Amino acid sequence: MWRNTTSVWAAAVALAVAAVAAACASAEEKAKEYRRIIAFSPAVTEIIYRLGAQDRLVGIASFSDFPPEAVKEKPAVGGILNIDSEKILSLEPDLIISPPGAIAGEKLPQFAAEVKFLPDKTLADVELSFVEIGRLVGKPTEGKTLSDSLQSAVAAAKKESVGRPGVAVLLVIGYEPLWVAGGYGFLNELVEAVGGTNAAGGVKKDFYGIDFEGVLAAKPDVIVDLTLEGDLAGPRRDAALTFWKRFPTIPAAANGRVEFIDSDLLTIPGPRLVEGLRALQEALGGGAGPKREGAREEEPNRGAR
Amino acid sequence: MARGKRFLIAIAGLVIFTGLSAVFAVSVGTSSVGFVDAARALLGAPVPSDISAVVSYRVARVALAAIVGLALSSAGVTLQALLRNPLADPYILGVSGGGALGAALYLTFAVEGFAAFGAAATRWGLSGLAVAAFAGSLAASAMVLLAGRKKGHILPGTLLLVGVMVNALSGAAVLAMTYLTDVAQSHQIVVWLMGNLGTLMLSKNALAAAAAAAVGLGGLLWLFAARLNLMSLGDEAAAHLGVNVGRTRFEAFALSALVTGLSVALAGPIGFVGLVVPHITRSFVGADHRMLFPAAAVFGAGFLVLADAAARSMKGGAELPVGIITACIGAPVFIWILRSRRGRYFE
Repeated sequence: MWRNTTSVWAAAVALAVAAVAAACASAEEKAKEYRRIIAFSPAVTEIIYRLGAQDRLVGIASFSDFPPEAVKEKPAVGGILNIDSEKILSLEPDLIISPPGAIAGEKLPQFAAEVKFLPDKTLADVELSFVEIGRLVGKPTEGKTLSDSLQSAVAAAKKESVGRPGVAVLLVIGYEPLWVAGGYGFLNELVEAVGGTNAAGGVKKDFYGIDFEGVLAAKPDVIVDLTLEGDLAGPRRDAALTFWKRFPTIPAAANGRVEFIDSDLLTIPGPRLVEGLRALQEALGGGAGPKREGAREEEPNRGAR
Repeated sequence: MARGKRFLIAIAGLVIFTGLSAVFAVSVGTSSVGFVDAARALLGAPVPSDISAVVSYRVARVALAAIVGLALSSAGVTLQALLRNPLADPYILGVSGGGALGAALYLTFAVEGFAAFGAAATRWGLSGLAVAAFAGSLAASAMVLLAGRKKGHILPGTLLLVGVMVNALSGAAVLAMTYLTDVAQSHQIVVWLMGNLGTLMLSKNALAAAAAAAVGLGGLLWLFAARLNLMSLGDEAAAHLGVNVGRTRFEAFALSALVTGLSVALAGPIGFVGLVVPHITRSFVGADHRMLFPAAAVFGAGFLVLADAAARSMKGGAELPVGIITACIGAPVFIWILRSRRGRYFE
């Protein structure tokens, strides 16, 4: 009798193992099958290039501008508001990767057999998207490594900031009207990781239009201007500095601590967030070692320029 | 005499309403600064610098709301009279569409060509966005005034339709830009289109200049009151009574376009004020433009000050565009007045 039971168990285990193996193999195979992928957000494009799987990419979102070779090599398929349907159909994608959204959810499934919606609002979302995209493009190890590198950069920043006094930070993403990063999402998490507190964190949204009185009351020590891309010098920087100088009761304005970081580093939920994190650390006066004091000394002049 | 007395009572009531609105608006906001702090700061008592910063920000906002409210109401009164149309509002001459086009062009191309222009404007205490919107408004209304003339005469009906067409045309151009530009910029255009008094943070000098311009233009429009009264009898009757109808119409249109362009530049196209404030005021002081102009200007200022106080006191500190509030307050109040005894003015 017990022999029968054992053999039944043995058979069951063998079947289970075979099923798992088959499932893994099919997942692996399935991943290999995706050879015509459309990246429907700038972040997805960056991730696929960083993973070295760009040979599988056949199209990118119109507003992707990094890495530069992506713009040269891959055709643009429009954006969420103006999807270029014909272009997408002509590219015959087998997979579209996009952030979730009502319009994307309705429209994209018409164009490809598989559509993968990957949330990108929080750091956990972003890390998971690295892993998921790695799996989908047949580079699971690289995806995991990319995710780990972001995770460990955040952990290291947290460790460094322990014991340092908190700095109130305002992250500005637009003027007229003033638009800021709120208390939800990866940008807020990154500020906290480097030992800052988000001066506009009271509203639990990723971005919102703040009432200026709130800014006056929150008295940010540092203002991080994320309205410029690429070239951080030039007239728009001057205009922003002139604007903030008018409000001397804001410590950041009074002390010339309006810092400019390339917005792409901190607003695109992709691999460059690690660079953005470092820039944020420097802007807050941490993590830059001996340069830190010097940088602080120079701030007022920089503000006055 | 009785009419004069009624006017005095009405205008005194409206001045008190606007004054109280201003006091209330300076005392509320998202921070903890209340009436007592505000009063101390305004009366020159020593207060911490952060409190005085909040109070002066609120005072600037109240001033801006009053300027825009006054401007829109004056333009609304003029255009409803000139076009003899109760649906006329300040934006009917294509001003809002033109302003939106100017603003959208600026926002779309701010990164490239307009950056230096914006920075230069900032140095002068202005805003590139405001200058672009103002230029767009003026260009559109000039186009409407030119295209609405036939054989040297401005015909109200033609002008109205040309205005609607120019608004439609610029609306299409703005939609195209919103659609084709990237998400961040299209979002900024959409927010601007809602009308918002917190968009520009004007310097004191710029604010003073805007106030002078709005009061000056509003005053000039008031000078047309008697002629507008006569023109309400019909063009021919007015002409017999000595009014140069064509010239009056051209000048009053041009002045309304200027004052509306000013308000669009300062706060985007805030809806409803220019339409509803003249009607509400008319139901209190009557249709005589000599009384209607100052009464509507004062009431419009108070109305927008109050609406803006609500817009910027939202819980949590996220600001609501004031255009949403003006419609939410204005529409039900107007319907109530229409249905009440005072609604007889509209029959």
